[in-house]
Amino acid sequence: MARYSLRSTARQLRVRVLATIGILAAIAVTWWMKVEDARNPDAPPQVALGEPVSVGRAVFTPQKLTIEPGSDQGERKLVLVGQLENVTSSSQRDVFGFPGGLPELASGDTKFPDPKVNLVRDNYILRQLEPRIRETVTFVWEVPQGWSEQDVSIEFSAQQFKLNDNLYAKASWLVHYPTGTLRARPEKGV
Amino acid sequence: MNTFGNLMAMLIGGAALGTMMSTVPDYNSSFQPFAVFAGEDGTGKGRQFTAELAGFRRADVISFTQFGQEVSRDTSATFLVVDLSITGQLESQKLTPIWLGATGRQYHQSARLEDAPRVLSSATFQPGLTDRTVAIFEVPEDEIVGGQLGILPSGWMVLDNVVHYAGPATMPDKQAILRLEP
Repeated sequence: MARYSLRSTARQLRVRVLATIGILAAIAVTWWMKVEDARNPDAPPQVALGEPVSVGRAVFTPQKLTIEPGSDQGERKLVLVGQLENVTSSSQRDVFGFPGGLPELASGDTKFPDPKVNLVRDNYILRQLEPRIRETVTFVWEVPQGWSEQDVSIEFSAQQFKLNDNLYAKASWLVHYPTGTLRARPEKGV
Repeated sequence: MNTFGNLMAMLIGGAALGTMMSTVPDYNSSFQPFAVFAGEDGTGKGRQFTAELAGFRRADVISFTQFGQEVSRDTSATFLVVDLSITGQLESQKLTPIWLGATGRQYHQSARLEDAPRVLSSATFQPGLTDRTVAIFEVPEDEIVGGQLGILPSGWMVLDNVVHYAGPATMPDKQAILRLEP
């Protein structure tokens, strides 16, 4: 009959208790991560006209969505008017992020091209947004042939901001993530 | 070495590493350009250029002629126009102006006026030649007094200079329409 010392048995017991605690902790953390995921669903929040939505370096407040005739015969354009405010501490050229980042418009199966962003006051293209200077802008989408007037959804996104990146410890704008979806029916413009 | 000794060595090592990581300047701040301040006469000398500040102006609208067409640009705030005279030193050089507002915010030269004549960010300064130029910013009025102008080389700035100029002591005169001539 084998003989075991009391010290050896206590050591084995301690190791097993520690291993059990580790496994239970891993299960608890995994379960809590699932709970957190369920509490914060991935779907971006709905945005209504008049409600601000983050576009990363700026905050955009949509005000009016209209459908207007284009410059050529039979051409139409969707125009979203709103206010844009730079929320960083420096002038921004890539207001909606780089690369891409412009709001995406979807309606039915129709694919819309990227919008043009202009200043309302002189219809000049928005090339730079200054801190503390709020600008009224228009997003103009050319309407593809065959699209009939119906509800549209506009998805806004922002780039993740990291104050100190891992390589150079400087502020960086990283991947895009959705920040809100505006669903509205365009009004008739002038 | 016993368990206590191992634990102490690990703790001291961790504390030393944490201290070094929190006190050593990061890569980004180590390679920022050196700040140089202009003299009271408004002349500042960087490694590659000498710039003399001639004055400040404000305007609601700026107009100029481009390819025979009249161009006019307005702003939702105010245009701050800084008149400068810049001489290149050793090689052809492009420069970038930045307005450091009274609140600490950084304003880059207005992209709406990049096509205007004699605009600093579009100009190239040649060695030994002196050129008149303007730096134009769109700023809220309360960012002007107490602000600073910074001029730095475009592109590679490591181990180079940014020259700082004191902003105006009083609000500069304002014109409804300022015309820029070549």
